[in-house]
Amino acid sequence: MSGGDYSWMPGLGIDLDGGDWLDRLRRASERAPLGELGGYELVEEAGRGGQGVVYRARQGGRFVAVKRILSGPYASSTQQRRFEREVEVVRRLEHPGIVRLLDARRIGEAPILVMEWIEGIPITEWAAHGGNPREVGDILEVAERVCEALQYAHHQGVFHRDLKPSNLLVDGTGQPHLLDFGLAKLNGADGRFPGLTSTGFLGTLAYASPEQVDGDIADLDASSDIYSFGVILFEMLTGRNPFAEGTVSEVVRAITEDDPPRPSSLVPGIDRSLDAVVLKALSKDPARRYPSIGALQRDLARHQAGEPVEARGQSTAYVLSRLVRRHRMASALIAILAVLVCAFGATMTVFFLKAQRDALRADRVQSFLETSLVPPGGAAQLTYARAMLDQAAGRVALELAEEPSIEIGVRRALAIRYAEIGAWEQVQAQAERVLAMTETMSESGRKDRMVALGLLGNAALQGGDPIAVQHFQRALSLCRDLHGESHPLLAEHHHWLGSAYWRCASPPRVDRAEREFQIAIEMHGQASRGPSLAAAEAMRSHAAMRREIGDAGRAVVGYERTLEMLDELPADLVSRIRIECLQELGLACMTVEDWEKAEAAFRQAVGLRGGVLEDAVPPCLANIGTSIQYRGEDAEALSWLESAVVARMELLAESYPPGRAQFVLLAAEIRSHGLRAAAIPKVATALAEIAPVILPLFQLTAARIANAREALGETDRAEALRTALVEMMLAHELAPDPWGVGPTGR
Amino acid sequence: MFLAEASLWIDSVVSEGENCSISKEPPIAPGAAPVPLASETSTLSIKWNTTRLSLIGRLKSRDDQEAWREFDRLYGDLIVSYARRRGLGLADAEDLRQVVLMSLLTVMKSFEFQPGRGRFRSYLGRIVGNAVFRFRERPFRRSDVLELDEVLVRNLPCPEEHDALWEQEWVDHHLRRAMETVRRTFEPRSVEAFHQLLAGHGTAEVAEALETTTDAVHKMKQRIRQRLKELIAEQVLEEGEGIL
Repeated sequence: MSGGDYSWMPGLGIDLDGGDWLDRLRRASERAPLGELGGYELVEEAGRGGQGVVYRARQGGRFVAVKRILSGPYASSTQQRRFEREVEVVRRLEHPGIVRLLDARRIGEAPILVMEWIEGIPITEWAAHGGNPREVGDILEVAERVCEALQYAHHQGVFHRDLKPSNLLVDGTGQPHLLDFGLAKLNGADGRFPGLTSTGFLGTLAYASPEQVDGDIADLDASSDIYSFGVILFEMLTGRNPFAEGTVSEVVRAITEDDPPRPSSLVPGIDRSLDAVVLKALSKDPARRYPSIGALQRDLARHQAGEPVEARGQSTAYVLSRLVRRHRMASALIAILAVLVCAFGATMTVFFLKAQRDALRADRVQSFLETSLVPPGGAAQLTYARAMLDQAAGRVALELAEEPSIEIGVRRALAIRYAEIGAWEQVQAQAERVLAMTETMSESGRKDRMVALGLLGNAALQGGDPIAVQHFQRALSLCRDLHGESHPLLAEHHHWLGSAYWRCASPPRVDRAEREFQIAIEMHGQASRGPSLAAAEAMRSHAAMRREIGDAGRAVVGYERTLEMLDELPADLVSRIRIECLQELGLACMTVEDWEKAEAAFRQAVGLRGGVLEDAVPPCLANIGTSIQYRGEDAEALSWLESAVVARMELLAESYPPGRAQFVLLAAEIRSHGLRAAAIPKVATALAEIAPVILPLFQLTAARIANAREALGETDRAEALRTALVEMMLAHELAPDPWGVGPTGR
Repeated sequence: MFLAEASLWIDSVVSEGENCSISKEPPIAPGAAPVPLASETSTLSIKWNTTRLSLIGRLKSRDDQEAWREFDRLYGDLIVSYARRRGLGLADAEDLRQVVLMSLLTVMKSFEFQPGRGRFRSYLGRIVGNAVFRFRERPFRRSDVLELDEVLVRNLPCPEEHDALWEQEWVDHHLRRAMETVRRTFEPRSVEAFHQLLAGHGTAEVAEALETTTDAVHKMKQRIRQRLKELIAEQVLEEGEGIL
């Protein structure tokens, strides 16, 4: 580019003669003063991110940081109150490691947050020390101080939720300072993860926990902070982020699926127990991380003092190798049992009890477990779990051929774990093998047979195979023999059998299903001391059947009872079934024309989503709109119905890449102008090959929008919409329904 | 209501804007062309440089968050600076920046942008000029987006009288950017000397202060000037101005 002709850029001034070019440059460099904001005299822009701009400002004789939040919903008074409430909580934090929040209020529409000004550098930069990395001991000392500050805040019930190096500054004395404490919520991140659609997201994403990446920020707690700090610690020790490479989607995948490398594999000087500490903090499954930041701090201190760390205790192999060596078999087996209960739950423990009988072989079992079933990062992720199970399954026949009793236990465990991830073909394969192997055994094999039959039944139920009925009948009779007449497990078998009668029998045996469901519900009522998920599931299946056979009135009662029971169970355990119940309740209410109750149910379902069932949002919104429309409130109905269309477009933008951009545009357009006839063909075009699936749904909502427009006197617009809908449906050889009558007449 | 709770970025109803029928050739062709998928390369081709997509070109790739951050970093400042010269306060100018960027984000991903000499500059200028114009009539809500017509620069009232101011800001913007690069990449001593020259000190004065010869200061000045020229040419090129 050198020596070119710049005459095509007149006015840029660098080509001016004499000293004029310098004058021009000087003029360009002179910036207007920033002025003031909320009484603070702004000195310079200090930083800018997806959520806001930070200024260095002067107040009296000192500097403060003024953050102006750019995004976020703060318009309504509820949101304003929530903002104030959050601020109140954060303001109470007083700790040398936490930057004080001095002031927070709204100026115009934008909240500003005023904090102490910290002269420091991001903690990872501090650790890297300009290419001359600091000693591990120094890094851990600072890390411990960060833990102290975090622990203090966690004890006050405040979680950071957005830990990253730029929020963790180290000053000249080596004191770390946590910024923006608890402000993730205030930073406009009430719903999804902050800045998912904003610029500057990657920097934040790299430190997000797996649950944060696809979850609701409101539910994040201490363990998410522990994870994010684990990422920072990893980076301080190794100079690199464990996951941040590639595009957003690659990083998201890495965070949710990939095991981070051991820090010692990147920096040779790091020892294995520090590896264990960092990796434990980075477990994908929150339950496998440290239970508190204090526990992490204690482990760091133990490591510093040269004591064994708790994190290594997490690794089964580590514990087993130590215990077995120290105590020989007898006591080792008890300890192993304890570890297994933690690591795999009861199933594997039962299996291990069997192995205990044959203590001589315990070491073989142990090595099998260590190499096949120990999930290094937690088995929460499906693909990983699947690969792990496949690997284990492949080894069973080869390595356990001479130990049938152990093989049975392992296969049973595998089948259960396959069921947990919905791999029903594998469930069937393993369970059939267990069944065949236990066929010849009398007493000892009964429990394994029962479990195998239950699993086979469930696999058949998934595929609608009528054989499910027989499997469950056999399992039920075994269960009765083993556990007596009123065991919760027996109730569960009755529920499954009922489902099989209803879903798989041909033709469906409603009477039998009804009876089995009744027994299951009654038995749950007697057997368990309180409400349980299994009981709620039985009630829900019963209600679902009633709704589907047209007995909507009794279905409503059933769903309401189910929801009452769900209310008494831990919310995170039941979020999915709850949303499904609310939706089904809403549909049942619509059938009996109880519009108020239907509306309330759908509203609750929408309020409860949280990343769990995003695809439930558009139909819920549409159903709220329809319920309101049937009550005659067309103006309000219209806004809900159009919201439903917008939500549908946004969901499609997320889930159907070929049409992504068109859907983003359509959503923006519909939000601005309502659904116009001109948009209809665009929707169909954007949908391309999936049109036949979505168009009938879209048509229903769109037709109801037309109805609302007509009721509001906008006849022309309604007519145009209907014409466009009919043309669209005919073009795709689908049945037009321009009046939104719907498949069931509603 | 639910939608208000959902914390959507682009989340508002924008009132109908004024339409006037000055027909000018739209600088970008709306509609028809499909959006390239992440796996494909952008359909945008830069004739004079096939090895590297311009920043504006990269904006079309939906996965290129980095490009949007870069765009915000580079042009956000220009937008704020211009809006402030047009009399908006800092906070208002920042809001306007947000609205313009979010509107561009929506549109850039979906429409074929055909770069050509001077086009991006005047395109952005018209969007921003118009946004300021509208802001004066009714301040934005932070969640607003511009209307599609406004972002596509169709049927807009044209704030011709502000073109000169935009041009000046645009030039200042490029000078500042180039200067910033020089500051980062030249020897601190040279940068210091150049700052003193900028502050109005004479060559001899600067040479004395830095204990060097006037000839050395003079050479340094010319080197920086040459580098500034190159940097500006590169910047403008990347913007899609094009050199004939």
